[in-house]
Amino acid sequence: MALKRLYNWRIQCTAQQLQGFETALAPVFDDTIRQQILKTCYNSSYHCALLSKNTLLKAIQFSKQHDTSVIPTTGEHLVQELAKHNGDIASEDLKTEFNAALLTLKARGIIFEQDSHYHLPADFILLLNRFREVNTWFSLCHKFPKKLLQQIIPDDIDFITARSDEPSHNAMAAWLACEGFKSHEPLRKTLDDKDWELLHHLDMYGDIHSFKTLSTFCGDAKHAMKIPGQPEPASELQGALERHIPERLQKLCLMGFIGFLNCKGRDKSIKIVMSAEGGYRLLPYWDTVRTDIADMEKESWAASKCKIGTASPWLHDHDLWRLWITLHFMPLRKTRNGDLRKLDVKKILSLLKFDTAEVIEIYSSALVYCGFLTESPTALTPASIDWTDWLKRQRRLIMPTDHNKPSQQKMLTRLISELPVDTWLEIDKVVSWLKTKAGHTLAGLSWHGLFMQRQAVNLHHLNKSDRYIYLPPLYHAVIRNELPSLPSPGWLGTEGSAITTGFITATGCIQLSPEFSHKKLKTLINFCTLTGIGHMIELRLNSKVLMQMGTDKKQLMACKRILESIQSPLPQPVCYLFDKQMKQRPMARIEATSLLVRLHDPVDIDTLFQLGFPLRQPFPDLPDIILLEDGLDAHSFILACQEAGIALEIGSPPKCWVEGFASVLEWIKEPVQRSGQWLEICYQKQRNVQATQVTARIERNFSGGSSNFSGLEIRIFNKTARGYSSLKDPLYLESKHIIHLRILNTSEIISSGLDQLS
Amino acid sequence: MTYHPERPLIVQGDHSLLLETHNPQFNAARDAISPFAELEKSPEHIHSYRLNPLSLWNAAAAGHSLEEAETALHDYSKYAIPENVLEEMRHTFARYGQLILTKDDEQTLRLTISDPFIAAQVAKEKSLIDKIRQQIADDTFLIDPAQRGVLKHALIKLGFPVDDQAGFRDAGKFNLSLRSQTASDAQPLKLRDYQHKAVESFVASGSHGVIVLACGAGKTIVGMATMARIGMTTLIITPNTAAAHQWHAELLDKTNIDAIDLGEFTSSRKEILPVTIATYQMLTYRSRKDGDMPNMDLITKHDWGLIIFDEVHVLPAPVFRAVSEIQARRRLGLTATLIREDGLEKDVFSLIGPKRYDLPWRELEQSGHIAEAHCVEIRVPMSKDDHFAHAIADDKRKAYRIAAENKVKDTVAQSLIEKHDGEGILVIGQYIKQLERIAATLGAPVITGRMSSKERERLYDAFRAGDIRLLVVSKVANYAIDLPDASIAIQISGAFGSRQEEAQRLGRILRPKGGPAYFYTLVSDDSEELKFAINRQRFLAEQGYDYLIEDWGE
Repeated sequence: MALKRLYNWRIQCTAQQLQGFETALAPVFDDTIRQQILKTCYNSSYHCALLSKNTLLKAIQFSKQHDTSVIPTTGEHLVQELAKHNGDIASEDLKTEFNAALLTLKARGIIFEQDSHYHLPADFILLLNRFREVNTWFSLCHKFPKKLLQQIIPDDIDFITARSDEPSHNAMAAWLACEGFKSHEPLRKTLDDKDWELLHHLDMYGDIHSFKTLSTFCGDAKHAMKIPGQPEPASELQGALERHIPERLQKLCLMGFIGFLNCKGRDKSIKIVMSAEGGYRLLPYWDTVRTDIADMEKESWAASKCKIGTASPWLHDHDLWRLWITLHFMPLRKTRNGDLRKLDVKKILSLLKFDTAEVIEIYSSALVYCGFLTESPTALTPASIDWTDWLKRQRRLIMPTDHNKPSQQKMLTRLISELPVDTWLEIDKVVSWLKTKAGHTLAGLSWHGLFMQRQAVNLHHLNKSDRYIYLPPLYHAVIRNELPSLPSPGWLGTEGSAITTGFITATGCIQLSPEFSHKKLKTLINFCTLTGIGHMIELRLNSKVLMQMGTDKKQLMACKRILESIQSPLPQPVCYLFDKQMKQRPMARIEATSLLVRLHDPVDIDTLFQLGFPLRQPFPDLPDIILLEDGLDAHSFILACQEAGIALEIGSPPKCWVEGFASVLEWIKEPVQRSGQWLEICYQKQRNVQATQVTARIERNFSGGSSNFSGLEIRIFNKTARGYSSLKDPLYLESKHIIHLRILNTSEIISSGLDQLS
Repeated sequence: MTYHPERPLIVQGDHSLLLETHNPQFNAARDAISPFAELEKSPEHIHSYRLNPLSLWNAAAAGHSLEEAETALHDYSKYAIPENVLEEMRHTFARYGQLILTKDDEQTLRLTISDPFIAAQVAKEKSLIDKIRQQIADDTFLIDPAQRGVLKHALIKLGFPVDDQAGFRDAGKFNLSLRSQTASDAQPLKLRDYQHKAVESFVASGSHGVIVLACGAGKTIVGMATMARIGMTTLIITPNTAAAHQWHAELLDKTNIDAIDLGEFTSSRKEILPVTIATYQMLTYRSRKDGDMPNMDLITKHDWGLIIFDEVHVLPAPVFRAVSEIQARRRLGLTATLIREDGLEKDVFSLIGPKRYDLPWRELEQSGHIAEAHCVEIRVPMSKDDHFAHAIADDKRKAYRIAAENKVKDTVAQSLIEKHDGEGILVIGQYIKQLERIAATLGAPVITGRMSSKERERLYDAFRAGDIRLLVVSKVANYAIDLPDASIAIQISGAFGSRQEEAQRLGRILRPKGGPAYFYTLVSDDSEELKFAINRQRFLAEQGYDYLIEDWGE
């Protein structure tokens, strides 16, 4: 474990950062320590720096107790901690210098200040991948005194791993390992003197022959791994070993060559591991990787169980499904500012019993992101569920497309798929591990961004402090390109085998199982209202809508057929409802009020009857009270009375409403040019939106052969303190949108000043 | 995804349980969940239950464990059980037993709270201060016996169920037993299986609670069987005198009680005997509007071993208050429809006791214990005059009244009566004028609240005897009137959208008679009445009854 910690404390940064770092360190550390800082460059963008063992140890001690990515702004705390391990460092001068160094680091952008703490940038500390380890070791042995190397290799090392495509690197790794094992007491006991001597020989003189032999061996071994149908890799390696290495050195070399032979085709790779007895054993690569990961999970990455701070919306996939279903039946519109309309949100909240409106925002964002909702400037509307598209979008979220090279994508996929799921992980450590593994292949990738950005739609959870992540099993499924199997049964409705039957009660309630076919559900939105959704989808027949459909018999029958496909036979009351609508007839004009008139002079009654209007005297004891039959035009009646000199007392002005969808349709179909007529009109364009009653002028009236094309184009006039003002845009209304209307009479138009409007 | 399509149960996140009735595992699942889930609705296809704190605490009180409840859900659930439901169940179960009420002596009860946080909260809770006599330790409180009910009620409201181990006050012994055959006509008499279960669950769960059984399912017998089990002096409170007399007759007919032990506390007689029958009206009587209710002492001051509240859903508010003072007595509530439009059914649970037994009406119908009933809603057109008056009515209430009193209904009712000639027919309505009018048209006697009890009973008796086959009745006959021969009910008007009234009226014709019963509701088409009809039918629809609709306008 010391080795892992040691690696954790290697600092990798850009050349510019490294330079700044060195400069910053200069006043803090004395020359000896500073000299121990490694500077090796392997490509144009990355540099490695390795602090000395002592410095590292101090830092390790500190890291045990503190958040390694956060340094108190004063530096005081860090200084105190370091002082516990080295009295010299505790001097006041050093403190001052240290603070100065921190400020310099800050000025150079190596660290940044936030919430009274200095933070290291997300990619500042890296766990080196094994390839880089080899390179680091390789350069190490050339540039630094061997004593220093001995210092660096910890005493409690179990094995060293190394892998590279370059056999020489592996050989060097073996050599370095020997360096390490020279101080390894158990190993010492397993070697005879000659081997021990050879080991030292290799060490002291850099025996070129041995070096070459090792290189050849590595190359052969690698080649052996590539040949299909060959014996077990381990025995092949043994064979290669026997061919190239003197017998007395074989054991030693194998012990020295502890690490990976990084042959392409990982399944054939092997790892040589020191056994406790000082021998060796060969393990297939993946076993060792798994062992590695399991170890790291347990010992390094795994965090204590955290409370979720920012949950993935997919944790609540059942609620996502509920919202998605709900939005089929209820509108979720947006304001001009792009916010969700509060009224819509409130209605949805009360139905779904979510705690806050924020939940709807989060869920709707997730649904929009995955393509389940379509976002327009005015509203969010449900779209079809396409799991392949969902998978693609989620993969894009996990693996950004700024690394388009297949090799990069492949590596990223491989690395991410190695992350343990169903447990809490420390982000920094995961990122370090990923960086180490990826090396320069994925240079420039914002690793923290993988876990921190777009969290609102991501699959994993973050804890409250954003330092830990939880990857659900679904995360792995996405990486493996597997279509998801979400816990909520509602998603079964997307499948072709989804059920299409449900229950319909006599009171018009429709109960559908969660796995009810979504396709079928979409047909129900036209005439049903959602009354509840838990697992069961509960709908109620919307009798108003069915009444509207009364003018379109085909549509009405289609609705009935849909219901019958859910449950057949339908309960009798539901059939009755349909039958009644099928018989819906236009009622011409209905005078809802003011049909009652009183004659000023009862003797006029005879004259009145002569006018030919169908009249009744409803109250035998009050013959002067006259009731007009239904369907009569009250205005014509009043006009006729005036012309005949009959004085009437009218309780309230007659208002002849054209009411009911069938009546409205008939009225519209009348072959009359209505442009310019003033109306009081009540309409409802969308379900679940309150009906609106306005004063309006007819711009045009349409009456096509089919009822679908019958309607009005009106201009609405709103009443203000200064009179009426028109809305800019005309409104098109189909007959089915109109609940009732009436033509304003001349006196109304004049008294309200509408005649003055152009 | 956990998915077992063959299972019958759906557990939803809002703590409701939906049980598919057509599933082969339905019966087993129902038996498994019913101890801890409350039946809410039992329509044809899917019965809905609810897990609520009260139902879970009652299960805990009855000795059921959390594991049992969890196992039942796991065994029968189609889908994975929402985690919040399980968590809530664990939390709720854990609450039970934290507060224990015991009896120190006749004057003092002791409330012991094992959870120190709950104890601290109880000690500081303002609404409890006047209900606690003294706090003698952090976790111990002394309580006056008179506060037993109100304290428990208040604690329940706070979410703290009390394990009441203070016991009941044992009153004078009074043994009676059910006869093996009725005294009147020597018919064999034996408790039905469900009646037996109802009595057992009441007694087993502490002898306080409510039994819900459909009209005609024999609640009175359940009451009498309970009296026999308890074996103590009993007060029976009924909604009206006619019902009181029915109890009186039933007790004499079906138990071995001696008439001299059976008293009546009504306007005509004021006897207090080992078994006494009173009415809610008598108990709440007061001479002045703001005066005391002296008769309430019958509940609070007398030592009854058992008090039976017949038709407990109509319990008046003053009786609620009195009941809170008699928590040391065994209390049995009987009802067919534990629904109140005022939403006070929860108070019934907390003061009388929780629901101990409930059986869907349709199940009783299937087993032949109540009549097979057909509900028909007849849409009746309004006359032109009525339609006009309805259209110009000042407000909806007036419009409703006009529609309800629609004269065309008279003709329709007459046709229905002709159709069912010879059967026991009740014409039931809300408005006296309308009832008198239709009674005059039909030549039938009319029973209203204005009529003396004696005359009413005479007419009921004549109907039972078959001397009269048609009765026009007002809401006085809505409940607690047993008219075994009635098989046709024609409802010509009713209170605005009252579910309870609808169900109770149907209940008048549910006594099994060998043939089906018909419940006609006449509703004016295109009127305000129609809007209320849907609400009226809700309870029965939830019990699985379908309403056929007939249009008589054509």
